[in-house]
Amino acid sequence: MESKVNNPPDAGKVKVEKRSTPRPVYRKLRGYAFDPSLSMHLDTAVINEITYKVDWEDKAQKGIEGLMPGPIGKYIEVVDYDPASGSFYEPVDLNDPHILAQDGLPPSEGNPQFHQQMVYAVTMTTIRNFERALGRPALWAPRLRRDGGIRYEFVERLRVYPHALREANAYYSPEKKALLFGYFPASFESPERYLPGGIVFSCLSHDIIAHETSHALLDGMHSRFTEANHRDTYAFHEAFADIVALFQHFSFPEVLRHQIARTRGDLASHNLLGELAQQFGEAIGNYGALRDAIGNIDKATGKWKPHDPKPEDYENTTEPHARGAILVAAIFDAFLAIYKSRVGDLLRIASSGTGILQEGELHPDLVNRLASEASKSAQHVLNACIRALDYCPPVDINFGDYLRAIITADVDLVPDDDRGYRIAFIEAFRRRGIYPRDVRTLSAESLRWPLVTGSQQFFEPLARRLREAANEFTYFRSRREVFDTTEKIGFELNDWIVTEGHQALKEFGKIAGITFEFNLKGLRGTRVVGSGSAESVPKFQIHSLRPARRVGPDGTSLNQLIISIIQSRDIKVKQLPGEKPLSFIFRGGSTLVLDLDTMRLRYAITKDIADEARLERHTQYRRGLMNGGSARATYFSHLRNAAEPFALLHRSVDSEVP
Amino acid sequence: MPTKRTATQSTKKKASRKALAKKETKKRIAAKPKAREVRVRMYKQGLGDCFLLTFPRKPEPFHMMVDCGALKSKHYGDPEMNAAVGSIQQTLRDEAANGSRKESAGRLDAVAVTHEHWDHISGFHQAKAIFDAMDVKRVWVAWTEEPDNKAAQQLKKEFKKKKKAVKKAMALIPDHKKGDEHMGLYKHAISELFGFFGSRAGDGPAEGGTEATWDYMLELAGKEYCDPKKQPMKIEGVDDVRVYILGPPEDPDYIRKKLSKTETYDEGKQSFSLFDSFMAAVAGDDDDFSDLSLRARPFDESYSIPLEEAGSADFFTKRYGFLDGDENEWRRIDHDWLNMAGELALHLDSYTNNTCLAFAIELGEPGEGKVLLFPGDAQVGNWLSWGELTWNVKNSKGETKKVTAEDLLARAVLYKVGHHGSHNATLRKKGLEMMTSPELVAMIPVHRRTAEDQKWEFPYPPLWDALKKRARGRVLLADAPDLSEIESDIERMLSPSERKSFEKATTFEDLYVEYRIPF
Repeated sequence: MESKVNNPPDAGKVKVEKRSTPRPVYRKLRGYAFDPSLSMHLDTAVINEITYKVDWEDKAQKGIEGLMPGPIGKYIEVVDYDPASGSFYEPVDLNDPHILAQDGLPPSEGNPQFHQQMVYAVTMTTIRNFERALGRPALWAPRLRRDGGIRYEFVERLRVYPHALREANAYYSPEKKALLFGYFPASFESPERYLPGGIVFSCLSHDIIAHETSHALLDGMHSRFTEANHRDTYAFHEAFADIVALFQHFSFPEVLRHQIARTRGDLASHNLLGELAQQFGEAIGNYGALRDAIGNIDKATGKWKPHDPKPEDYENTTEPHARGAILVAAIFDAFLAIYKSRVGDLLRIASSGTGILQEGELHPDLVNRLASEASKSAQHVLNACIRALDYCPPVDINFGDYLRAIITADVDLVPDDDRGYRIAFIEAFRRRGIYPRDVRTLSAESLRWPLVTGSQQFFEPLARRLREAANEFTYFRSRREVFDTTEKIGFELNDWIVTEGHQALKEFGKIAGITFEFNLKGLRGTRVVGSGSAESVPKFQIHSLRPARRVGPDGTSLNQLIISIIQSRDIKVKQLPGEKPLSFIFRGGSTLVLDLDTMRLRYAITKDIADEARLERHTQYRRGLMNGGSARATYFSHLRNAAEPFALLHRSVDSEVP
Repeated sequence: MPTKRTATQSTKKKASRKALAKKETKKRIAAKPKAREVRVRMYKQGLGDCFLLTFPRKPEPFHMMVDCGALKSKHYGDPEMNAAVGSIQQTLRDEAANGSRKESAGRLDAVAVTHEHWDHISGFHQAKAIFDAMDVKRVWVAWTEEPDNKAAQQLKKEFKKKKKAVKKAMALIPDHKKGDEHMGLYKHAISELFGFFGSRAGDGPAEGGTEATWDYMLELAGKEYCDPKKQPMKIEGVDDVRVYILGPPEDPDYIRKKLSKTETYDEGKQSFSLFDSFMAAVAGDDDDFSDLSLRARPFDESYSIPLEEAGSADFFTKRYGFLDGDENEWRRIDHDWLNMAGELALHLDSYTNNTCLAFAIELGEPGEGKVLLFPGDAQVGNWLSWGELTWNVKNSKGETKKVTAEDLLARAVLYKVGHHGSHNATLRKKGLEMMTSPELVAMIPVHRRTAEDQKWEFPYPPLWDALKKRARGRVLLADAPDLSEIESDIERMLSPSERKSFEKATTFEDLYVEYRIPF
């Protein structure tokens, strides 16, 4: 690879090729590690300004795609319109030599161009983390077009508006495929950290940007996860976004070393790495960060104390953020356990075998080594969390499913769990009472999704055909090509399936959690294409197709194709007399993991469309949702399914009536 | 299926109507409250509160009105309100001791108005002619109305400003936008919520509405400023009844704090200053908001490119697009920021409900008697503040007794359900669950068809269930024609004698539901 890029000149030739400068790997951009508030403190100011290393994009030239003012790049486009002020702000040109020469504009709250640079740097960092974990390019959720039949349109760039709102809010809009950030005057409650009444910009917070970008990336993989049909659905979206933001903290070496030194290597104590959105949290009148994975400030004493996980947490917490916090804390707990086991030997070496460090500061070498272990552990945990998305059911995710997905993803890629990562995850979930349904024991073997044994005769020919198509993915240069081909294969797959014989379909349906007979209430149908008759068959949708090619730490390679199939039912439930009937869409289906090397179906992660017990749980949940529990629910709940699910969610929910 | 159900329902209805017909003849004789009996009438003027409480007194009873209002609705209007207030007036005349007053416009001993929401005061506007003529003796309002209380006046000023800001924001939201029905729906939802303030989007920024009506009501008679820190209030000429004021909380800072609890994401946001930059943006050059102008712009003016300039700049025309049908139209964000208006409206709504007058009426022996609970539309903050209150009263033996809000709740035999039975105006642990009297009856002033039109859950089903359990079936809804809806509940949950006395004490009329409490 290197040599190709560098084009080493051949000295023997008469005609010497012009020596080209190697293309830079990264574009360096300065920004805040956390948010501007930490620059106001002497002890954190030194680490708060960091240099993000963003994958280099060439400057756009005539006929060649590349980075344009905005910034507008391959993945995102920043358009800075502030409708409340009636102002547009000049787009920053990151290719301007003056900006290039000083690693981007210097951090500043008062310069909108720096804001644009900051959102670009953080969104790109987040996208990069995703792609690295998944081993394929990230795609945004396609745009649904309804003009002339339903079709999905490729969305090349996520739109980013750094100053879209005048409120303490920021959200991802699935409708506009855009991130909207708000700004607001800080409250007057703790003036020591910021200027009371001074403006707080959510687009300057690493955590908020990473959080919102993760929402968009998750939506790009699982667009049905924005449908609330379980108390875990919104909570999962929130938690996942927080997890990504949190673990990205560990990729900033200066910050990591500083915090390791300060906590003397004990990351379970109060530290910046486990906190999210400090400035935002305090500016809206919190005592501390918006959320903290490890602990919180006790209101009574004003002192920080670690969370105390309880097995009933999962059962009793309902508000989406609070519920999401349980998942975040569980993942963070798993990370801490992994980190501790990885640094045990270092601590013993540094303490002549006792494991108890001496008083005083740590040796800088030890700090470096601890930091490198922490960074490694964090990257592993983050990768596992992102990879697990491929092993989630296509609809109706709950935390238990997610644990199973993490375990399965990890077993597949790292067969030998010599460092006990999986135990760490299971243990952390168990301590918070998160148990998957229908699992006999809490061991890695039984948590892993069951391997499909029968019915391979159906999948083998399917896999054979898909393998050829999937191989093409390796050679694609643009994400649009990936999208188009995926769509095409999806249609073909659809056609192959429907032409199968009755018996084969029945069996396939059983495995995939869908049905090919009209035996269920409200099942959507579709005309048989080309049959000319009015005959209708149950409709199903190849929701997504994702190639997963990864290489594990021991060199094991993985060559899988992940297919999501979804079926929908329109449900109407009668309520008590005098109440309106409850109507909603109930979806089922599965995520099929096809091994392209052995050509066998490995897993079928299903949410059966015919599962009446699940339907009943949905009904109960919807009823509860309608019965809201907040003023917002009373007055605006019927709008909740409308365009902006995250707008209301992030404005959050009223506290419950005690 | 449906035919079957209607059939059983109608037989039930017939049966209960028969029973009611019997009762009606009895009622005519016992219309005036007996020597030791309080009569509570909940009027059927619509989705809103209007109560008439009548206390026994010689030579004529003491009449107290609690609120008088209804939200706008297609199901009823001015005639229903005038019928209700007219009926009240007729009662006042009928029960006057003095022959000549029977001919008069009626004497109302007290009007207690809990808060400045349309569904509690519209009657003073709609039936103004009747009130004009009526002889109102005293007006009871919360201490927050006291003109000399600087803190109270400051709160009021801030409130007015925010209300104005919501109206201004509403004017900026388009009613219909091609391809974006969401915005219009949202605007509609906000304006329905704003119906509580007496002005709807369709009416434009209707000046006056609620405020003018409120001012008119205040001028009806001399005022009593009700304050939870004061001794229980007396009812003139009725010695064995007293009124404990529970809320609004005495300290204005307390109200604010309750609104901006600092521990959670959301409530912190309700802290007042966070709305400032939003308000500054909607204010335009309105002088009332000039103090906010500094917070209006996030950046120095020199960075700003105004719309006119951006419209001719390549970057913005290509990426944002300004024309209808532009490629980027679907991603524009012209109005998204105005969603904040809904937040502000919610904030105002709960602010008003929290500063609402709440009181408990004790019948008979001080410190031991039965209690009627009228919390207005008090919300969490208001309810929670009651826990800090204590009163010392002298009982009939001359001993001093300490009374707490907890005592009062435990002795409540009548609970006027707050905010039409919404989810957030009845506390669970520090509210309903403390009402342990076996005689508890709940009255919900609600009009379900109107609530349903707005898609509001009034009454909120889980609360409704809890009320039914607590009151063992005795939940009276203002829009119920008779007992048929709760018949099976009371049959199941009450003993035969309890049921008999409950049915005896309850009367359904076209214009009101009546419940009488002996003490």
